[in-house]
Amino acid sequence: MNEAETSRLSPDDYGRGDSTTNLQNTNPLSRRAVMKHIVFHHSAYLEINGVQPKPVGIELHEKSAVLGRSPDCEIPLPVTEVSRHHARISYQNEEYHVEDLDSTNGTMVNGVSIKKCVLRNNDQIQIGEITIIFVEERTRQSK
Amino acid sequence: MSSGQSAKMYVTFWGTRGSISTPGRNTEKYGGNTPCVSVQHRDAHIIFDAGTGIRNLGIELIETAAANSDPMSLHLFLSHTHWDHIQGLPFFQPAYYNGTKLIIYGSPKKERFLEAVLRGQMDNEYFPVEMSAFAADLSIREVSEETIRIGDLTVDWQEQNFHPGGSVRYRVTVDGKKVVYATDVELNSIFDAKVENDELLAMGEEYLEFIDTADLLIADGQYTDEEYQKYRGWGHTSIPLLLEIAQRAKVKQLAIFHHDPQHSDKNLDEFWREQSPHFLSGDPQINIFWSREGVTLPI
Repeated sequence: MNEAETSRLSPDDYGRGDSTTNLQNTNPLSRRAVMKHIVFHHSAYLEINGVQPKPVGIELHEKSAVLGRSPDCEIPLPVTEVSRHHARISYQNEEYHVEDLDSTNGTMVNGVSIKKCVLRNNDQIQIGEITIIFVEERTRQSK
Repeated sequence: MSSGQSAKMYVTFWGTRGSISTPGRNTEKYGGNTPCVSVQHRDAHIIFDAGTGIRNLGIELIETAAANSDPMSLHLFLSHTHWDHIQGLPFFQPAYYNGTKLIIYGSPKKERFLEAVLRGQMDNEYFPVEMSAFAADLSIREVSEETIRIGDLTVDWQEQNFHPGGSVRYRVTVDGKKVVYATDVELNSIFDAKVENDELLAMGEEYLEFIDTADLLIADGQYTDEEYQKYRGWGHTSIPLLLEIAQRAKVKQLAIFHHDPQHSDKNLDEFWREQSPHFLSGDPQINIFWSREGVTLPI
């Protein structure tokens, strides 16, 4: 089947009796025809524990955000043991990273002191007594 | 990665997988690239092994060099020349840049064959670009001196016998801090031998002395005990034995390395959850973790 024929197909075709009840007659769908109706959705947020009585959720965007005690930080952590500019979350090559900004007390990921670390879903960032869970979701959804 | 004003070593894992690269959803956390670890201290750059992970290191080095307009001076130490430790070299971009200085070190047992092996994998039967395309100032050497000085860093090394064809372990020292890279060795043949003899005892002592109180030990821990029974003699160490040895040597941090291709992220997370708390609360305390691609540690 050539591209012109496959491009006529759309997800609306999925429910039609003539293409599903008899698999012999099912028209093959090209990858392109299927994928053009699907969007890649990437969302991530931090669940911060230890600043407020309850965990605080902060959505991450594809921009850098600095965590620290200073009020000019995008993610302020007003706790004594946190450095003024303690760590940075950044988005590079479709991945989130955390980098310690030469803080006094350091940054840990899953119990290991790091300078820099690519973040994966459910990673636990520790800054003093503050625990931050990185939550990431990548989905493909129909338009 | 900035060197910063401090004199810390920055150790980055670019490839942690043993034997063969394992891309896929179930390995994205710990990584699927084969061995490559870099150590940066001020302007000194040391690289251990040229597995597939070295490709990403090369990209970052090029970006950093472009930003700083500095020529690169790189020292690549090979543990041995099995595929998983050299296959990334043809994709290491800095090697193709005029102005890069690249020194590759390997076991003296290889002698001049080290260069032949590296050239051989870029023979046009295997790869479209020959090694002669490397525009870098390239030098391939055997580690003949006992210690090598690179900037403020001292690198020393020892041969490892219990791996098919042998391998070399390396230790980097600066300001009293020690990082040991000791992969591809079957320590069970030394420490868990059925028959003890003086030679094995001496090898064991030599190993313990080499890793003694290391701030970071990066070591082969490919198999569970159960798996080890099936793969005895393949040249890799079982995890429980490695933990015991690291504790005996009072190692401060142990990065378990050369993950088995069949071990998924879920498996490695389970190993970590089972083992880590026990050693964190032990005496001496030791922080153990499964090395993970994309992580830089300050030492």
